[in-house]
Amino acid sequence: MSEGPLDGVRIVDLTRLGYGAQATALCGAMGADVIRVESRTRPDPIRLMPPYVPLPGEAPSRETLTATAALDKGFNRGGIFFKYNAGGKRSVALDLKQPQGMEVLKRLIAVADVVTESFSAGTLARMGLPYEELRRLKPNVIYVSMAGLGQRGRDAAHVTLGPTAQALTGLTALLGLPGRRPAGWSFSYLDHMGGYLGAYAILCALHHRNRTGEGQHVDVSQIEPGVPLAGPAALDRQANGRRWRRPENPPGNRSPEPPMAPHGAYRCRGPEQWIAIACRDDADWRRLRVAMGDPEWARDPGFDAVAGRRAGEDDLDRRLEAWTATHERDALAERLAAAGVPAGAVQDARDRVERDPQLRARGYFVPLPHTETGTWPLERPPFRLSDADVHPGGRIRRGPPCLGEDTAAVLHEVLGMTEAEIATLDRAGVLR
Amino acid sequence: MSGALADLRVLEVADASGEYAGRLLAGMGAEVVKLEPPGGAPTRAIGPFYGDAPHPDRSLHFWHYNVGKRAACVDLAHPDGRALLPRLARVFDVVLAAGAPADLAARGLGDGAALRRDNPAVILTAITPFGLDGPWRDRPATDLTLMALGGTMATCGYGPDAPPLTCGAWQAYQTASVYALHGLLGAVLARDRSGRGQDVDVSVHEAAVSITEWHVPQYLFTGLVTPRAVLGLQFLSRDGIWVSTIVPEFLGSHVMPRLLELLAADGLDAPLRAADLPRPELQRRLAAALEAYCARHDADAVYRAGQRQGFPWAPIRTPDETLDDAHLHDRGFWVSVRHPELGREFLYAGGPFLAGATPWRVARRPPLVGEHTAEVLAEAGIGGAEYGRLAAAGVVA
Repeated sequence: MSEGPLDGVRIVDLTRLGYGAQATALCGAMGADVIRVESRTRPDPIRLMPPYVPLPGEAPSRETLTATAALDKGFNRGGIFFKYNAGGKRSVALDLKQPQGMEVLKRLIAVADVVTESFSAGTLARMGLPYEELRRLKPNVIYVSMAGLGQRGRDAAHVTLGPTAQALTGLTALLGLPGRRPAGWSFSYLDHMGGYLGAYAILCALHHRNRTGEGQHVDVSQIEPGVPLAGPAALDRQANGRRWRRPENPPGNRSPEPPMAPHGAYRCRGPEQWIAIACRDDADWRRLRVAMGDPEWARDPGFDAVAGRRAGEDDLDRRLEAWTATHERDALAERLAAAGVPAGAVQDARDRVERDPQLRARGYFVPLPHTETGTWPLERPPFRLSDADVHPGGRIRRGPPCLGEDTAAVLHEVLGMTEAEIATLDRAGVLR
Repeated sequence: MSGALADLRVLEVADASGEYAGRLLAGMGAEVVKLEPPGGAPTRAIGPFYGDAPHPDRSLHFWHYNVGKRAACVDLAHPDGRALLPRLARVFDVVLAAGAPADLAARGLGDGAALRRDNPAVILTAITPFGLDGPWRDRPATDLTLMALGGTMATCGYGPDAPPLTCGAWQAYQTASVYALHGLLGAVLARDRSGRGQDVDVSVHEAAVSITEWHVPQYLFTGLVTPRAVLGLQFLSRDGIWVSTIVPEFLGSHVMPRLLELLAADGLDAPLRAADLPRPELQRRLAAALEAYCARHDADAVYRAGQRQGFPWAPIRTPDETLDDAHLHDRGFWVSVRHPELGREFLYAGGPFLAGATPWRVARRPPLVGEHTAEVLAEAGIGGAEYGRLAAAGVVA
């Protein structure tokens, strides 16, 4: 096994839920030793949330994310937790309400390169660990806080989930059809992008520290990562006085800039079967015409140039869909790809897990063991290095940790505690 | 204070799928040079334009994704232009390439081995639609088709019978650009130990597949496919703004009592207090009460009242309304950038986080076409009579 890019980097990880945890999962996949400090006394809600991972031999639970958390499943069955806490993270159970628990955390911080947390703003400081204290424990520590709206600013106390940040940054408004209510993202896109940019923060800060010896506090939020993703509308307002809120917005799947048409999702044969087709230019349109057998309607010279296709897009889309609706989705995607037209099936999760030949060929899903539930295919990061190890199981090649399963190992290896010392802490109820 | 990446020199040879990566590197202090064909990159033709007059130096789209970079025009379709690439790569740490694998290969960027003959430490990062191998490697793709294949579209939209929708502004490309930063900086950290560069292979498809939160876990663990739906509760406020009023019961048992308290102020709580309501009926009544509540108040008031109770509510802002967000201004997010040719300054979206020791910076406004060609080539030792010959032949501009 070649070296991981972050071999030798230790992260003391206090993140919870989805957004913060994804930053450290990426670092773990790149070789960092990510030590999740958590507690049964105040468990990470995502450990308790459906969907639940079945035990070996058990029929799958049908509870989905819309259900409330069930406590009878224990701490190790939360299915989304699996996605966000791969990377070979290790779990240390520590009750931070107890002074001895806090003392152990401080000892871990003293030997950490990076400390991460995603509590609400100011929480870690109120727990007695403001940045100044972290720096006292480890002078060049990199402290990455990931409160939803950040640590500073008038609304820092606000509570955010992915959809909150998506609404505030324009990303919800951008997804929908003109004249309709916003459709928005059906999931927490900014939990992902916020987390990924949190990982970028960690990498930048590590590079700076390696170069200068200097640590720092990086204040990550979910809104700064989101605003630029909505495109140049703020520049358009300043440059041209044009507001985004106008009748043709949001544009649905259409592409006013750059002008492309057809550009949308079209029904195929069978229920819930759709294909996305995009003609980047007039040459793509000519290829599509050939692939369709050059029907009479498509020969209309008004459709030859993109301006005409945009102007007649309702008609164009209707006619194109009348054709796609007679075809089987995947066969049509193959045919269009062979013709050189950008097209792709609208894939759901089953398609991605069971069917997608590209994901399969590249080994996107990697089987990883989990101590309580067996082996499950988890997703690898979408980048690979030719000469370094990036793996969703991290250096230890394991799925997400059960709560506290690495407590003794970490206290022994990292802090040099003896078995007797660990047993004493355990008896005192500190390692919960 | 210098940027976190102030020692990094990045040569960007990227189409629309990689420009955001270059912007994020430049803001953290890297010296990013965008290599474009003579006449400028195709993304300079994307509107809107300053003054609505199409011009390669006035594309607001280009500005947004290329602020802080320098730019040089080299014709990589010409053999003499391609021959410059390894020489340029000698004075860069990273080559950031993005596009179809065949196009990258035609420019000599199929893999980094050739570049590393001259500069063993150079890192080649390639963002391609499907990655550098596999049966779909050479398929044509756009952000739309990649968002379809990635899974976002299957679940976004108004319901199972309505069309699947993507989100404008190229989210698959932007996601892949961010992942490219991880691979690229990972390779930099590895290089700093070993002295050797390597290749980073980033798949836009895989990036888009990765962002659908619980959908893949739910299928893996329950066999259930997530249907297309609008997430959570959204209602129209008195001033005509939609408000997201999610009630996250998983946050704890305190949620319902606080919600009742908020609704009680408007006398809307009674229907929710009936004992033993079945869950669907409770949810129906909850939606009706929130709808009535929102209709009585302006969006900002709903936002703040909900937040006071600890609910993650928010007004659904448009992409340009973020300019008015006082909290973002408190955080110093918007950065004023002067465009001397236009005699104007514009606020650009700032960095993705506030790094205490290494703040986001904008070294320069977006580059004009070919603005830095001569100086960039001179930095690689390409100047004098040679530059003159190349310029006369139109290989550089």
